Amino acid sequence: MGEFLQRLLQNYPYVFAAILFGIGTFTVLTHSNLLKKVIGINIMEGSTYLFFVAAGNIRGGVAPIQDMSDPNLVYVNPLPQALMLTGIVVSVSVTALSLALIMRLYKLYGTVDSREINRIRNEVRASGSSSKG
Amino acid sequence: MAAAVKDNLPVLLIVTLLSSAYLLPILTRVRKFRLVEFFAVFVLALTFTGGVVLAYKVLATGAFNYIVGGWPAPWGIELTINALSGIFLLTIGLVTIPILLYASADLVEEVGSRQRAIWFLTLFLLLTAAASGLAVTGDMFNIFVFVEVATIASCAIVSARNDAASVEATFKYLMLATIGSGFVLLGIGFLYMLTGNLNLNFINMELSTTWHNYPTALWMAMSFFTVGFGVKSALFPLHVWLPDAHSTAITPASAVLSSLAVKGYIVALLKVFYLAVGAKIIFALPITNILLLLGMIAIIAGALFALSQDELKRRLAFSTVSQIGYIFLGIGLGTIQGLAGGLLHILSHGITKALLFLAAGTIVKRTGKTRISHLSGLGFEMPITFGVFAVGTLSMIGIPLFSGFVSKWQLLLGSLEKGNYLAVLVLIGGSLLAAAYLLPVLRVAFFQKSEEEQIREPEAPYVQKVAMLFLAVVIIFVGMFPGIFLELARQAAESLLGMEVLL
Amino acid sequence: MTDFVLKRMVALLLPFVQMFGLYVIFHGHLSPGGSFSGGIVTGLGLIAFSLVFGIERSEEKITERMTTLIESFGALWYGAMGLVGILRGTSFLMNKGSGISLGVPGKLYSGGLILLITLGVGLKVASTMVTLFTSLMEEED
Repeated sequence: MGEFLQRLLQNYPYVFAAILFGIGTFTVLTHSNLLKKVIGINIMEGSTYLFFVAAGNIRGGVAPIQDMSDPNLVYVNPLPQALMLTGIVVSVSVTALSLALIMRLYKLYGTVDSREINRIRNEVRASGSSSKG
Repeated sequence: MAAAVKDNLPVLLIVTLLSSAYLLPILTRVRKFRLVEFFAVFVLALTFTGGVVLAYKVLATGAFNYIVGGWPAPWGIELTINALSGIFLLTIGLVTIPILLYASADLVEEVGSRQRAIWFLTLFLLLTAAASGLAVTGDMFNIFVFVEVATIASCAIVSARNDAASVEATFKYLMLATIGSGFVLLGIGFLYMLTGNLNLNFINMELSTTWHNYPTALWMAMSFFTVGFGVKSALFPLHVWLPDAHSTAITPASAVLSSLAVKGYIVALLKVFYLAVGAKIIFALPITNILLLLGMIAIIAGALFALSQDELKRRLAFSTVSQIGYIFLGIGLGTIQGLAGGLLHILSHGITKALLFLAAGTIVKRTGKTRISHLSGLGFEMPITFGVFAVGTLSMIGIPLFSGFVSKWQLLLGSLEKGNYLAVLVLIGGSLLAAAYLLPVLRVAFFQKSEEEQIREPEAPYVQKVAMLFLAVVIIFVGMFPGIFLELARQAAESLLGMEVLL
Repeated sequence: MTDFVLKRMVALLLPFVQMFGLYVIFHGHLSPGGSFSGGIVTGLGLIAFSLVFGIERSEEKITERMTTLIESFGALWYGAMGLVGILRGTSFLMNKGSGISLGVPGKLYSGGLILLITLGVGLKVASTMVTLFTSLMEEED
């Protein structure tokens, strides 16, 4: 048990990444406020960035810009960072798209709460079908 | 010049599609919108030709790699073109060209304005580019990038009409698909931490010697991939976004989403499982059994859900859930014949579902009737639309001489070969259920007398009829002359499963 | 006149913000950052301008059609740079192998095509941010 805890503490970035991933996913799936869902998505993606960058990190390493004068420098792995830059680009576009959709929904329903939206839609549908029948 | 194009064909496919997608927004000032649409169809035809050339090359000489930027494999980006890419590139071409042709007839009217129509075309080309990218890519990083491009493009394409139902469906789809992306990304992270590589072949080499040391981490990675790609490709319990998204989108969008977008993620899953991790490890961790089980549940549950829908497009959407189950069943069987059947089902379900969605869209648009029970007596009013719908139905059920039969027959043979009689039962049951949920449409349309008066404008425009007839002809062609497609699927299955499984 | 300070500050800072964005784009191959980060900074300068001075004023400076054009141009520029390698008879995005001089390491011109590519992507990112912002602000149907 002690050894396990020690290993957990040594790898604390991954623990935090796992916790954040859980928080993000939970927020997306359970909150009815659409904006909070988007925030949850961003927390979740943030946790994956943490995970990747931690995986490429070396304690005491410096940014991977080659310095000819000092051959003893240790560089951190740039590949996960490059990957995560792409991940950030993706999450920016996902956020932009979802915000545009939320604005559209707000204009249509006057609320950003998914339960409210469901209620309004069901009312409209019920009144629509009753007027038809 | 011709040699240069031929040598660089894999990357040119993607570059052409992406560049044309970005070229379209500039073309807003072109007076004749038809020219813009023609340009998009032309680009698709061009890349389809490229896809056919690549597939032919793979059949003739086997799989090959293309190195981007002159940096060899572990450092640079590598594209891997194998029979799997070939079969998916063929699917992309055969599906997208008729769908875009169909869309061109009334696109501006459907989406509201010319600006939106151009966005639709851009997204369509982006989606095609991402699917082609998934077909040829050879490393994890590009799989992630193309999966994301496909996700965003397919989400945005759902809300092309921008009405309440489709915007809501898009939001739901976007949230779930992004959670899927998170899982895929974590899976990639695990594999990268285990192997230190992103290139599929190098991951495979690394894992094949060292995987015994960390089975738990590998299990985690595989589960992340299964859940992530499962959400995106609407594997049964994770399919909740699909019916809304596919039934509220405009007709060409539903067709391309159902027939192409969900398949791209399956191709990515296959690449990760078999090219990166390798068949040996996949069978040692019995992950195929889980896929087999999920596939069987999906076939039956999707079909039962479809049976309970009265709205035509929703019924077709649930039918997609069921048919995705067939592909996963093929993957889960883990034999050459079964996997070949599953791969062939990517093609045959693609063309069939595209045709069914186009025909359904025509029916809904021309008559304004969305429910199946209201279609009575329309069959003889719209003979071509319902005729091609019948072709699609027969193919979906798996009647001989139609493309659906070829793939389902392969799946059946694969299950018999494996001795899995439950799978045989599920396959037959799925076909019967497909008959049960699609044939009533035809029965109502042809054999029920209508109480209402005539409708005004029964048939679709000329271009749409041509597009639908083209798809119907392709379905019958694949059903009657499946030789080359079967050969391609077999080769793909062999190359994915590798030699050790054969022995 | 309540936003006097805001307006002066943005007007004062804007040139420096833009300059910094361009600096990050141009030094993408030498220092941390690059086309995406630099493009974001450049785009955010424009967004700050339209937030403070209003969409109408920023529309005078750069029209929405212009940003769309730049966006498409940036993406097409990347593709064109990739094609250079193919036209030289080597492969896509081939840099040194296509006979392009790489310059002196550590100096601004030291990556062959990379500088040109980051410039295109930077323009694309900056204009995309502006387009996203304006289309979110003007979502009126």
